[in-house]
Amino acid sequence: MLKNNNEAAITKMARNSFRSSRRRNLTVLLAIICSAFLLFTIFTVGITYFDMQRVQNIRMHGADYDAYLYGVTKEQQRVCQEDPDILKTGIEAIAGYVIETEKDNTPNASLFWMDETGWNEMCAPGREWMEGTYPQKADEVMIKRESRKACGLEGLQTGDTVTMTYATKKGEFTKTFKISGMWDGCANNDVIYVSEEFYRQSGQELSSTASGRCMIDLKPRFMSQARQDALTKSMNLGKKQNLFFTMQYQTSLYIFVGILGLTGVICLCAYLLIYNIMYLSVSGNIRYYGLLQTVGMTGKQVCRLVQRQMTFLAAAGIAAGLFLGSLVSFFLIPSIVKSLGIYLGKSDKILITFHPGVILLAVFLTGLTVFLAGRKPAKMAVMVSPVEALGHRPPSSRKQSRKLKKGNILWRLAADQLLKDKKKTGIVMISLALGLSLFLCLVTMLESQAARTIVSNYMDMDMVIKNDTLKKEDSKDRKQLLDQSFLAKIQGNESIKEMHSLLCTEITVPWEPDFSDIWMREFYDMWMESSYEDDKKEYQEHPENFGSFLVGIDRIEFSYLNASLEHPVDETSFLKGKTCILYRNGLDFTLKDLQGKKITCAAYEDSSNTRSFTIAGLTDESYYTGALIGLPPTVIVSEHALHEFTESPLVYKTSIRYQKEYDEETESQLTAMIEQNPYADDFSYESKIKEKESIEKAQGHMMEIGLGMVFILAFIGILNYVNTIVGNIRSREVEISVMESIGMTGTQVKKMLITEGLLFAGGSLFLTASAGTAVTYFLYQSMNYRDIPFKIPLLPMLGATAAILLVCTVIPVVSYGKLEKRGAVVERIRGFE
Amino acid sequence: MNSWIVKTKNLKKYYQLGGHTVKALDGVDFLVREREFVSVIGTSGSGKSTLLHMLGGLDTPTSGGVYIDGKSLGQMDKEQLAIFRRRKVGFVFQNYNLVQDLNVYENAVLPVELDGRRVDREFAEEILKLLKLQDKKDALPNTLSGGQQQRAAIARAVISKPAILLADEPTGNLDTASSHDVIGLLKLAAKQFQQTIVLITHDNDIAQMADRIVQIEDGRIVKGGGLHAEK
Repeated sequence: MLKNNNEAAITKMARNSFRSSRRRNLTVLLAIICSAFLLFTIFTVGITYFDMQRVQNIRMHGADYDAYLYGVTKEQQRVCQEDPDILKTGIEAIAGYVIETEKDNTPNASLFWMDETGWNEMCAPGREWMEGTYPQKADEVMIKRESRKACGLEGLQTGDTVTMTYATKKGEFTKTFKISGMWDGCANNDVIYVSEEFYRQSGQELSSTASGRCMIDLKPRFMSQARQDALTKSMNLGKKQNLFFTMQYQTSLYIFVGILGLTGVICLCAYLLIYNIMYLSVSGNIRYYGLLQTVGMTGKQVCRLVQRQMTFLAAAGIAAGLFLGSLVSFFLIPSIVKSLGIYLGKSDKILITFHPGVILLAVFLTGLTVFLAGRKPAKMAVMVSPVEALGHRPPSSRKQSRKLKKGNILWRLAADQLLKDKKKTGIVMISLALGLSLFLCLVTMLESQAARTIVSNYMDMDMVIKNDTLKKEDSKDRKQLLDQSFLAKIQGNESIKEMHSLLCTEITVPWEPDFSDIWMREFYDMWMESSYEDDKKEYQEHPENFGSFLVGIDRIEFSYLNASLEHPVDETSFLKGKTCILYRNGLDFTLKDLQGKKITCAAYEDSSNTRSFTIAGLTDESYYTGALIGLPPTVIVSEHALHEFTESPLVYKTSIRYQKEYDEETESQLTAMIEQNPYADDFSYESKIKEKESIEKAQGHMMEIGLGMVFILAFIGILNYVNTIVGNIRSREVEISVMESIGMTGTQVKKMLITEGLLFAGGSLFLTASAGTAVTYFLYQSMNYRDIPFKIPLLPMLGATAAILLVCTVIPVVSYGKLEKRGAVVERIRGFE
Repeated sequence: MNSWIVKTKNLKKYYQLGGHTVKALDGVDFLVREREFVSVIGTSGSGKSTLLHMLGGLDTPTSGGVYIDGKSLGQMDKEQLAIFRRRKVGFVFQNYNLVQDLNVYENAVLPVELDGRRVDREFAEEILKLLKLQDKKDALPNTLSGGQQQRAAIARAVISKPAILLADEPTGNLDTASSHDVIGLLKLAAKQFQQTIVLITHDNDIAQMADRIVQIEDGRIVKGGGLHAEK
């Protein structure tokens, strides 16, 4: 059979359909525009984020790397070379520091050596300018042009010489160096680069955590936590060693998973809507498609007709979506990327990455969604039998019979409508639930990360005032700034609800084999470069060289601290001063290792004044440390015990709660009090209001943008609902009119339709409350590194529920109103006949 | 002699169609007595269906009045008209117009349920039995023959014991045997429940089964409209 060229006819018919099915096409078009826009936007956000993350990394570190290893052994260097996940590694190492130069007695500069890969490859992106060469000889140095003054090398140029006194592990030396080159760029402001030869002579070793650092550039743009752990494990780190992944590298995975998830949700929302509209459209036009076949159109041509309609819509929708996406990208993307944690400094702008791949991917995914969504309806149109079509009435149940049902007639009629086409009902409910669930997920995340939640987390105090003189090494420089009169003045303020002072006094913990020896051994092992054995004798003979603090807390602070302990301690013994809690200080001790042991504290100024406490607990909460953390443990006891030990403990910090949370007026009164104090400079304070402000600043427009995205997706869901309900009511025009003809009042019709709407809303709310909450909970916990309790934000969810209920009930009533306007009951029945 | 139950006075219904005024009803004066069976005949487009719709309050006249059981339909609002229909009128349509998702029994009792009344199951079963549908009460309309569907429609029309049955070409889609069967049952039901029937038909044989025949042409009653035009 010869093939007819009927493309023109099909295209013409497809075009004509735009006039006849305006509402349907407009809805499909809107869905495609929204999908293309959202996909383009989130892909652009993703790619810009990853690009900017690299830029931020370079700006912050002066080099392009993803992980940083403190101390690197030969074996670890070999592992790095062999690991396929590691692209390259660069070494930088501290050789010593500058004590004095010809121009500055107190310069602020370290001597660093960097290997070839580090300097030529990893630091290159961070360098903006360079002249000369990297030092090759032991008497050559390279300096940063901008930091010459800070390093005590002001006015010097490449080729000049400078005499410096510097210290290395081998001692102090004074030597003349030639400046082999200069550079400018990001970070490393206080660094003077030296040659490998100099480093070798410094006596330092790369394996020492005090000197060697390995910059690791990873091949994958992100790694799961398990993969990161595996990499860390493969390094076989020593006790003092640490492998840190940059913050951005760690968040990349979440960003990637988030983008994937959003892509899936967007495609699913669009698919559900387009599928549903096309399904309703074809099933509502069975007579039309039957007629087409009656007049000689083949199934293939009918299929092509539907596909052609979809192609026109997809082309127009994608083009409009991408155009809209590109347009808003200029102000939307930088804001989103900043809120994801990229900060390049005040003067730098986020450069949007427009990648052709993003456009192609957005076009492909939107096109694929449209194609998949239109496939089944197109098949349905093909399957229409011409004869059946001509006598077709709107689809009803395929059942033969049904048992009598009980209950209110309107309720039954409404429920029947939902159960009649379960697939359609399911699609609409899922579509609505997707929008709602995404809203739930986003609002829960944002609320939990919101400034108030985060800053409310620790003891929930509004302000903590600190006495910074306690940080002075010399005890003579320490002053009781938070004295009785100052505290009484605070207490006298009516807008202060409560306050707690953390008292402390400097102590020594004399050597004894049962506890302090064990503690110090572990401490040296974990934190010190020198060996405990080398310092043990000094510790035994002069414990005053190893000071620490005895901290006193009141009953309320104790309750709070005790509640945070893995193994709470006995309150009575603690308050009576029999037991103490130690600050763990990152050591590998468990409570089992120390519980029950005695710790003896001696007053720093009077070693004959001693007191022993039984160790009852261990805490990692750094709030309870003194101003300085010594080598021996910080000992936390009751306020009462501290007063027994010393008559004049110092107040290190005072935490204050306002009558009214976030009360700015009270805060300004307190800050004024501090400013009026003659020692104002020696005070510092942390405030919940200030923290909230800084967190809000960091979060940027996250809330607005997230909500914008949710609203677009919710809009798609609502479009789906509106379209289904409008189509549904239209297809039931005769049925509704018949019921009116036999006595159903307009109020009853509305009640029935509202009940249907409420059932739709109820179904989607149920899906959101079950599956949506489960997914939100899972996502929340997987990112909950602050251990903030999971809490559903009630008010926003009540608002969303009310909005859904409103939409679900108003749309059917409006649709029915339109139907009523189409004429008297009989005209509507006749219209069909 | 029984008193009248249906009355129209100078009833007019005009439509605008393509710039022309179509006079579907043009001053119809029409009376029907209680328990009378009147058939209205006329050619296609003569206005017979429009008249029936006016009588049932399904459509509003351009002018003139419709009075049922002494009440003017023109003074009723939409809600009152709907309540009037389910209490006073039973409709039987040519296309049956059953609700496809409800079974025969549910379709039949729908007007009673919509009226918020308790369904008298015994009475409903009696009607279904009378209309030979007792074995089909759970069946959905799309599984029934045309005759069965029309009988189900009659069951729905008589269930709330309305005063008037309005039938619009109820046999239009049925074969001769089924047509006679349906009209017989319609008459039987009307007799049993003392109802008035106004039947629209273009079939003279069917029309002959009525007590009186009214002929309508071009929107005017040309024969049998008055009380003295009895057969």
